[in-house]
Formats: sequence, structure tokens, C-alpha cells
Amino acid sequence: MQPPPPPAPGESPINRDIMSVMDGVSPGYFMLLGACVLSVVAAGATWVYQVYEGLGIGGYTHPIFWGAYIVTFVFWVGIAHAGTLISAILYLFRAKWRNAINRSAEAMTVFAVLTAAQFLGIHVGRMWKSYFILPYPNQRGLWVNFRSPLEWDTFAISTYATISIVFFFIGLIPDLAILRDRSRGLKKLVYTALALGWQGTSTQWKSHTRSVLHLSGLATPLVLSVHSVVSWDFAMSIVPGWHATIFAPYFVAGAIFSGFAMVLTVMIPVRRIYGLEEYINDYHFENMTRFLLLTSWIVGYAYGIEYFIAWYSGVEAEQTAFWLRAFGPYWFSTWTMIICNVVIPQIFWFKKFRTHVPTIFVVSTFINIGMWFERYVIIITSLTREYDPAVWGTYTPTWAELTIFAGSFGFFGMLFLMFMKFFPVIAITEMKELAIHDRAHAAGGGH
Amino acid sequence: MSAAAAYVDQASPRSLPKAPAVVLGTLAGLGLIAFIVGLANDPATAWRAFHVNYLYFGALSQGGLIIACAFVIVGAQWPGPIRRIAEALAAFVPVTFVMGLIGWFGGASYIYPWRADFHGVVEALPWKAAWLNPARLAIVDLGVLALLTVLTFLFLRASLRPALRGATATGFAGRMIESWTADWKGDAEEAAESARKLKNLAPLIALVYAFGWSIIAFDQIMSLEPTWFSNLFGAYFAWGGFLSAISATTLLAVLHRNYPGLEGQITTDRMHDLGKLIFAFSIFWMYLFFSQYIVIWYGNLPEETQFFRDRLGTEFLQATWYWEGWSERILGEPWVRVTLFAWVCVWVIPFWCLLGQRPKKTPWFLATIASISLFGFWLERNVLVWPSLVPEDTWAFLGSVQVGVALGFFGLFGLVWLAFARVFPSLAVPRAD
Repeated sequence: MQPPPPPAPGESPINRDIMSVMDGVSPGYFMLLGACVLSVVAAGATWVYQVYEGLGIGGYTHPIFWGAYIVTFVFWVGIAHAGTLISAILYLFRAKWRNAINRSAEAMTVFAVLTAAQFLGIHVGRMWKSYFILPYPNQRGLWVNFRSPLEWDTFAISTYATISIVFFFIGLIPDLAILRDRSRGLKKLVYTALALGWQGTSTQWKSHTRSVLHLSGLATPLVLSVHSVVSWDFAMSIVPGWHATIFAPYFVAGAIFSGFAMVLTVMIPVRRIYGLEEYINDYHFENMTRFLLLTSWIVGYAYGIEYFIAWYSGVEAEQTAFWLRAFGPYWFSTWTMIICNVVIPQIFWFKKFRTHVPTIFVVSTFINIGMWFERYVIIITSLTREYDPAVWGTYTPTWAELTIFAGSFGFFGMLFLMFMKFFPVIAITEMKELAIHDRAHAAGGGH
Repeated sequence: MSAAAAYVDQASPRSLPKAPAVVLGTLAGLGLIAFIVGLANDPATAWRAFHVNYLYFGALSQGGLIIACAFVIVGAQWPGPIRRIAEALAAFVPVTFVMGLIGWFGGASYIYPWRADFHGVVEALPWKAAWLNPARLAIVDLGVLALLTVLTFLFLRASLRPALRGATATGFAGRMIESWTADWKGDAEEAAESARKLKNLAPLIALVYAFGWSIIAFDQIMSLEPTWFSNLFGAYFAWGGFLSAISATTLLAVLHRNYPGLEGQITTDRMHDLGKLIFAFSIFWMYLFFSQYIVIWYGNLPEETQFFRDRLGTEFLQATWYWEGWSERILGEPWVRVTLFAWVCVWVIPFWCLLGQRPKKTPWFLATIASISLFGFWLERNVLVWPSLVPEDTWAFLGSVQVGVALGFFGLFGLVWLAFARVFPSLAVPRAD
């Protein structure tokens, strides 16, 4: 990335268009924000009640001690993957189409990790003792169990959250300087502090570019490691349907799949409401939907191979687990998962649909639903039907689980809406850089 | 990867280079002799060596086409002639099909324990008869290889047709060029038609490769230990084929950097990009290996641990680990040294040696690392097959027959590549205009 030249008159519409999202706050925005805040308050109140009453109100009873909380935890960790993939891996691969969506994807990563992390505390019950899981010298002589995948989660997610926040912030700095220069009062003070004295000098650009490159290198393995570790929460046990070697890459592909779908589900309405069609256009949709198609096939491959090996293994418990997934009491979840994640995305084989925005919105929403159900299938069907039929049971999410589940969407939505109000949803400086490149190409300058 | 103007090339037929052709032809002949001698004295060893090399070169050659497919799918503009080098690896795909036929009809009873029942596994595993039976395997696996042969032919034809226009050659190559450029519709129209066909074929071939070679891995490697199963194994094996093809492409690209017409084409940037691919994808290979190992180690179920026990010994399956006497305890068990050496070649050396920029941009160094990676994958393929069949004999893969068969395959593979790349020729050079 070269330092951009001084602003040209033709570039000012980029500032204007992108910042219109921050300026153009409507009553609809506040209604939506209000709804999100309400759901967060409801979830918070439910959680307080759960602390008072006990985890039983969250449906924790024999044989299900991992229910909708863990399903939703895995769902949000998965959503968090698109940001790092788009910002780090696609950056290293020099895929230019990432520029229009990387900022919002990075923000979603940070918000999704924050949402997911809460579920670990909600799930274990006594959230105020969560620090027990941190390995530090203490007078009680407590030490963590490094062989517990829950402990691995702690390291994986805290590392991922740290890198994601740093990545998000470093990328924001040049845009924060633009905001600093056009704001007044308290806002100016805050933006000035956050912009860290950015002046856009060539030395600063050089350091910035180098930081982004090195952070990309650090973040790339995290895309693989975080969801692999989450998958091992299941795969390390010998519960039928969980103990599978393919889980790590399969979870990573699923996470990227759901993360991309969420970026589309969120950004399509934002683009429409704030008139950003020029910045997020057919070129971006074409590439993103192709990516969805690729990851859909990887997920479909894993579904197929899981069934095949369960049958081939000859292990009766495995065979039964997979038979019951498809034809047992939770058949609806399994077929919803397959139809949403494997069948429906096949529509993107056709170019016409890869650029048809309403279709993309509908399909990406279905993928979000399908990916939540994927985790539901994995967790619930296996736990309700373990080795001994005498201890089989059934599970239905309780009102408390559903309220906290809805609250997680409210929390994510609330953070994203606030982000839209205070920060540019599209990276302004990167769009300007791209515009300069495009103009140079149009003039025959090349690189 | 750096964008560039659309790369347009022109096929430039040459004669077969004499010295390499003689060496490779000699190796192929030696391999045939070794195989025949092996069949006469120890057919089981000869067929097992054949099986390993058929799998190694088969996955590698198909992986070459997958590289070209990946370039098409992502619209990569950086590779230039690199794509042609990778495509030429796929010339061996039809040979793989023929080898698959020979191996199945000639040596199946020496290769598959469930086929010959020499370990009594058929009685032990009656439920597997539905899958592990000769007719099913022949139809599915040979069907996959046949389908991939047809798809490979269609891809190569669509890809090379625009470059072959105007090329002249004599004999078989001349007739092939004539046939592949028949009914010419005009340069622009043919280029557009080629791009359209490739865009349709590339994802299809990638899917057939992923599913097809996974099934082949389950059938032709996993089933050698009939009670073992791992649902990641298919993807792990197919990825190895793809990565070995990247290493082969890198090695051939470096060797061809002074090839007439390609001077200045195998640039430092292109070598850097190829080095990055080996580096990154070897990390992914390690990730797949570890994902399989850690789940099996943690679960500690005998039907799963047997695979690692036969290759890495019992020490890698212990709950605790300590340094004292590690060399005797670990390296003393059968196959461990070979397995660890393969791992060092496939991951440790490429990872540590290609960390910086300069090693990736230094031709001799990059070629050396690519060669080590290729050798490592050959060892790894041996480690996947032999310990299932002869778990106690570490050096079963290293007899004169085994090495002879391997050199024979190498010679044949090299000859096919040279003939297809240079004489036919798929190795096109940039158009002068």
C-alpha cells in the first residue's frame, strides 16, 4: 500500500457519502436502537433472575447441560470470523473487493466476540468466579486444568478479541483523523485522543501499512485456531456425533460461511438505506456470493463425510446418533440445517442471482438460520441420545434461554448501530486509495 | 497477488530434450525391470510399492490441474506461465487411470487386507462387506479416475486451444494440435469461449477432486487398516496432493526460468508468490495433521489410536510426556523415524526455511525446499501405506524393488510431463506482439 497523494477535488464525495451514514440519523434508527436496548435489558433481567434462581431456569437438567447458551455461544464465535478473514487473509491475498466491507466486518468481529464471551459466563452460572479460569499465582493454590478445552477457549477467545480490537482500531486511525478534523466540541476531543496525532505523513503511512501487514500475519492463524479450539470443546469428548477428527476444519469453514452471511445480512439494508450502492456494488456481491458458495460446499462435504464415516465405522452409537439426527425427534433442525446451508446457497451457481441483491439478502438470512441450527443439531441431538437409551431425554429451550438468545442479537445490534453513528462503516481512506488506483488504471497508468 | 495485464501466450513446439529424456527413459525402464523382478520374487512388495507410487504421482498430477482451476476460480493474474507449468502436471492423469486399472486387477489381493483376507479381517468385520467389496471399489474408484480423466482433458483442451493456434509440429503432436484447434472461430471469439468453458469447468473439477480423492483415500489407504476410521483423512490426503503439486510447479518453474521464450517470466515476484503458497499451505497441512492427531490422542479409543500407534509408536499416545530417555523410547519403535523424517520434510523445513522474503526469492534455495517437500510427500505416502500392511518392518519401503519402482514412476512421470509441456506443447511462451 503506497501513501495516498493529497486529496483531489474529485474525492470529496467519498467523505460525504460515507459520513452521511453518521449524520443521517432518523427516527427509524432510534426505534431500532430502542428495540435492541430493550431486548438487552430483558436479557439482563433474565440473567439476574437466573443467578438468583439457579441454572434450572435455563433448562439445565438431565441429560442436557449444554443447551441454547452454548449453541448461541458457538454461533457468535462463528460470526466473528468474517472480519478477520476479510481484513487479514484477503488483505494478504490482495483481494481488492474486501475494501468496501472490511470495516463493517471488523466491527462485527469485535461485537460478535464480545457477545459470545458473555455466554461462557452465563453458561457456567457463577459468572463472578469467571476469573478462576485465568492461570495466575494465587493464595488459594488454585491452578487451571490445561487439558480442559474450556481453558483452551479462554486463551483462544481472549487472544482473538485482543487482536481483533487492535486490528479494528489500527485500521480506523486515518478515518478518525478525518472525523477529528470535521467535528467540534466533545466529539473533537474524543476523536483527537483516538486519532493518536495522525497527520497522514508518509512516515505515518509507512508505519500504518507495516502494522496492518504484520497484524494480518498474526491474525491469519487465529482464523483457524479460534474455531478449531471451539470445535474441540466437542470433539475431545467421546460423545457420539461429537468425536470427529474433521470438526476443526469443518467448524472453521462454517464460521467463515456464517460470518460472511451475517456481513451481507447487515450491510445490504445499510447500503440501501444510506445510498451506498456506489461503494458496495455488483463486484463485491459477486465475490462474496462466490465465497458463500465455496464455504457452503466445504460445509456440505463435512456433513456428507460425517454421515459416511459414522456408517463406515461400524460403531453402533455413532450410527444411531446420525440416524437420529436425520430421522429422530430433532429431524426438523437437521433438515433446516441442510436445506439452509447446502441446498439454498446453490442458487449462487447462477450469475443472475449472485448480483440480485434481494436474493442475496434472503439467502444470507437463511444461512444465518441454518448455521444456528447446525450448532443446535450438534449439541442437542448428541446430548439427548448418548450411549445408554435408559438415560435418553428431550430438550426444549426455556423462556430464559430464548430471552437471553434474543438479547444477544439485541446486544450485537445495539453495538453495531452505535458504531454506525460514531464511525464510518466503510473505510474512507481505503476507498480513496482504490479510487486513485482505478483512475490511474483508467488513464492507462497501471501500477 | 500483483495484478498484471491479461497474459496471452503462444504454444511453441520443441523437440524432446535429449539428455533429460534419456535419463528419465532409463529410469522408467529400470522401474519396469524392478517391478517385473519383484513380481517374480516377492509380488506383495512389488504391488505395494506400485500402490504407493501410483497414489503419490496420481494425486500430484491431479493437484496440478487443481492449481490451474484455483487460478481460474479466483481470477488470478499474477501466475503468467506458471499456470501452464501446473497444467502440464495433469498430463499424467490418464496414466493414473491406467495405473489404477493395473493395480486393481493385478495387485488388489496383495494390497488390500480385506480383499485377500490375509489378516482374517473379513470375518472380523462382516458389516463392512457392503463397502469393502471388490465390485463396489472398482466401480466407484475407477469411475472417479475415469471422470477426472475426461474432465482434465476438457479443461486442458479449453485452456490450451487459444495458445495452440498457429503452432506447427510433426507426427503425433502435429495431429493433436490440428485436432485441438479444429473449427477455429476467430481469435477473440475463441479466447472468450475458452474463458467461459474454464469458468464452468474449474469449480466442477475442484469439487470432483475433493470428493473423489477423499473416497480414493478412504478406499485405498484407510481401508488398509480396516478397523480404523477418521473422517478428516480424505481431506488430509487430497490436500497433500494439492500441496505436492505446488511444490512440483515451483521446482519446474525455477528450472525453466531460462527456458527459451520464458526468459524474464519466472520473476522474483512470481517465485516469491510460489514460496508463499508452499509456506502457507504447508502450515495448513500441519493444521490438518494436528487436528486429526489431537482428537484421536484425546479420545484414546483403540479403534482410532491404532493408526498413530503403527506410525508414531506408543509414546505419542501417552497421557503424560517426559524427556528422560526420549530417543530410545520414541525412536526405538517401528516406523517412528521414517514418520518423523517425513514430517520434517513436509512441514518443519518448508516452514522455517521459507519464513523470510529472501529465501522465497532465491531460485536455488526455493527449488531445494520444493524438492525436500516433494521428497517428504513421497515418504509420507509410504508411511500412510506400509505400516498398515507390515507394522513391524520399518524399512519395508526401502528395498531395491521398491526404490526401482519409485524411480520408474518418476521417470515415466517426467517423460510424460516433458512430452506434453515441450513437444505437444502446453508450455506456451508469451506472445511477441
